[in-house]
Amino acid sequence: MVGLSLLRSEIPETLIARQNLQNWLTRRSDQAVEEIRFLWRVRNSLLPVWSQNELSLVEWGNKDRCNRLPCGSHLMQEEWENGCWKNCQRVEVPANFGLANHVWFHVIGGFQGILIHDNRGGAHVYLLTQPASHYYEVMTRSKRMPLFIGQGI
Amino acid sequence: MGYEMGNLIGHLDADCFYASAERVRFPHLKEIPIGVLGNQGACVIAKSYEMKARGVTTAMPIWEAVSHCPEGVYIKRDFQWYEVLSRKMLELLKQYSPTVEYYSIDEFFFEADYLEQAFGCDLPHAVAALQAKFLEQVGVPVSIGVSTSRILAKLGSDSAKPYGWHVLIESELIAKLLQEQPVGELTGIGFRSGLKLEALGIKTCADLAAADRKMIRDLLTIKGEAIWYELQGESVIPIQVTRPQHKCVARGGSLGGRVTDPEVLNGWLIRNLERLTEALFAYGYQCGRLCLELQLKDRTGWARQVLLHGHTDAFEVLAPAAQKLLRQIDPAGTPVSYMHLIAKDLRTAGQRQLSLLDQQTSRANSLKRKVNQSIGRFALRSGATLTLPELYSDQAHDHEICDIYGKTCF
Repeated sequence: MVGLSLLRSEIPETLIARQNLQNWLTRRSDQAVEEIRFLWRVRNSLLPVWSQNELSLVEWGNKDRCNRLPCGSHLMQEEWENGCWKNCQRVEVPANFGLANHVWFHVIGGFQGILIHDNRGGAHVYLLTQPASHYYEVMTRSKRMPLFIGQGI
Repeated sequence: MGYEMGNLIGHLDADCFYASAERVRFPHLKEIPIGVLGNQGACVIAKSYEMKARGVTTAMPIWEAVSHCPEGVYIKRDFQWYEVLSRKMLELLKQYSPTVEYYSIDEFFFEADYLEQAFGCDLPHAVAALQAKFLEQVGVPVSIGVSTSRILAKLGSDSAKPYGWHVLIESELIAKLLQEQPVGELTGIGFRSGLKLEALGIKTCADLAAADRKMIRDLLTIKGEAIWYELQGESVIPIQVTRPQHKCVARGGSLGGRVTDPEVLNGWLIRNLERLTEALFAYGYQCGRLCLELQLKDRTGWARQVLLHGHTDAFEVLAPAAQKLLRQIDPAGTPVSYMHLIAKDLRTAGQRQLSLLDQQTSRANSLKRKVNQSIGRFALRSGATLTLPELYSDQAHDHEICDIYGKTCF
């Protein structure tokens, strides 16, 4: 998965202003609701994260090869369950729409993510993935899919 | 107004129903181009008008749809939810009409004589008020046609879409509409019938209405003749409040890819049989013949059927018969992509001939039915279906459109 989108109405205005998200606002048609898109391909990619009852924006994964954190945007659930990643926290990544292989799909409860801190204390969030269901694989041509919260797909 | 009480038939049709149903529970999807995907996620089975405007058509593969509409959002179909709204629409319509036909999941025919009385205004305003009622109480936009026959009422609603209505009583209005509509738009005029009519220069509904009735009967049988009468405004196809008897009942569909493993094929066979026996029980039928139809790897069809010893709906009788049919695939191991099990030669329980070898539904089967009714469909199922874990882990597979009972059409 390479992006997700959240309705503007689900993000506090203070957060939008603080993170200067106005430039990320978009609509799918003239009359549609406003969304804020979080894409992996942008330079400073972020993801919204619910942590301790607060919505914040956290650096998405790791693009810095010098960093000791795993490179990339996702972590495999199997690795997480095997205890490969220490000192990290499971978090919810809210989303209304997900993007994989150019296909936008509807999301109901968001995704599961892992919050990890680097050696300078910076927070990074990775989306957890699992083997794709047949439906997801056919829809997106992806072998792996994110862990959906409260949604079978 | 030129009509009498007892003459008016209405046709109410939800606008892009699956997409509208998704917007009822997820209002943020309004104005967004949305496509509802079939169970396997491969193609668009319904789309919003916004997506249609970008060139996406029903049954278009998702990859083609994405190229037409990259901003579109794709949603997995959920027939359980669509049924909830469909039945809500049915109940609402029954409040305004004593005779309602549940034609399909999103289409209803109804006696429209009481609309003026119910809404306390003239017919056009009453039809508009009924339309507003549906939007307010169900949340689904509908289009409505009212006329003196089913065919005209349906033409009225179809031509009024989206979110429109037509009252077709005045002959000038009807003549204008018939002139505008190609004959292929009529329910009952399929591709072949359309070709036959075109060869005679009959291209519009007006051409068909003006044609010789006997000639139409010779060409298209009594079904075509009924359409001809209906186009004159004479109602000959009644509103059906109960479903007519089936000729056959089938369950099946795509296997989600090419399946060669005999255990997995058997799992699909048993799943389809459990669905089929459930349907037979729901309709009160027993079958005398069982047919297995497959689509093989090269898209060729394969079918075999077996004559049963007496009529039955018993799973334990039908399962070995179906498995025997499946073993006849030649050569064994040929990949299968589609499977349908079809119950034929149907009798209602009271009509069937009893046999000395009669096998009634076992107590285990009755118990299975009761458990599934109270806990959930497929909560108790055959062990043979354990080869399909992903299918049963996803509740979206529990409910297909054919599992919505009471409709007079598919």
